[in-house]
Amino acid sequence: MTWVVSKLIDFIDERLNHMIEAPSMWGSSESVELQILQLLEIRSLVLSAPDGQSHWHHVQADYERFIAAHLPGAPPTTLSVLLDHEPSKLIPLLAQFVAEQRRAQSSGDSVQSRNAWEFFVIESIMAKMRPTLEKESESSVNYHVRPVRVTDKVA
Amino acid sequence: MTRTKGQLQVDFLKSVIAANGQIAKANFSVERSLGPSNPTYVLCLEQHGALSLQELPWTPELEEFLLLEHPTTMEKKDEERERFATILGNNLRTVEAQFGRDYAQAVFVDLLKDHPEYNLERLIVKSPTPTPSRQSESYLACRRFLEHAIAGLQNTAILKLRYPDEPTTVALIGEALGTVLDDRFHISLREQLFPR
Repeated sequence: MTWVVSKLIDFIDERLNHMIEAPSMWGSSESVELQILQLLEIRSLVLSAPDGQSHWHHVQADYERFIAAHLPGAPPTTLSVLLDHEPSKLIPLLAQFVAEQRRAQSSGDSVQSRNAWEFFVIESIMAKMRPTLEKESESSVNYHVRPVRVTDKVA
Repeated sequence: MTRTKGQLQVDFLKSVIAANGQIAKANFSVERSLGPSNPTYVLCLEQHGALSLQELPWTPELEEFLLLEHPTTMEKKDEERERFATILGNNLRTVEAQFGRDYAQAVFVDLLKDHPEYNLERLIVKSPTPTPSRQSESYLACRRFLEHAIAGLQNTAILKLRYPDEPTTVALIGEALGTVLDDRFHISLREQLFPR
């Protein structure tokens, strides 16, 4: 995972928090709901393992299950339509779904993001220091592009 | 043909041994910092009762001589660990030159995940590498090289350096691999700079 991924996740999480804290700033109820779902899909896509698979389709399926669990027997439509007569329930339910998705999208990934960011910072510092350090050193060549032979025999 | 620095080091040691000299004691040092690590052997040579100290910069040729031709253990276990880490780090560097740094490191970490006997879980979690596809030819070639480097060093430690064929030797290789992970991914430094 790269520094770019880490920055993207930070941005998405911050935007999700803003939408839940002040939904009216982001348009109609349906608009907020769809923006949140899209952000969660992008979040999942960004955190996908780099194996060529795009793991974001699950967000829609998870959302349908989530709605079915909270509003049994509800027709297949958006939560904002289903809660048209109880609008105060919409944002708390969306906040709950966002929290569940963050957990489902693996806490290990946020550890990886953090690792990647820390690694990037140190590599950047080293890149700036390297010319000076190598000048100070008697020999800048520590390793030689030639493997050390080891025995082929098995102990 | 010009002889390399490493070949000259080996020629020198061979000449000492041929003249009834011996390596009485061997030490190994490395600087763990942001700069070059300058791995160095300090060899105490004994010839006709006289002792002399020789400080020799690490080279693959010198290492092969002290591993295979004239197996020599370090005075302290910590030094042996640093020496093994230098060998493993060098061999990882060569495979990085062939496959690219990020890819080789990803395969290295992926390989270590399959070896719980080295007890590296804590460091693997802190190593930011993607999971490589295990089906590709590059993966297989890279992994084969690294597996040989690790298993070969362990076998060399047992067969040549006469370390016991016991879990303590596996643990020593595991510590050396941990040093390589720490060095490559700046894990100790990150823990100091970014405490969690």
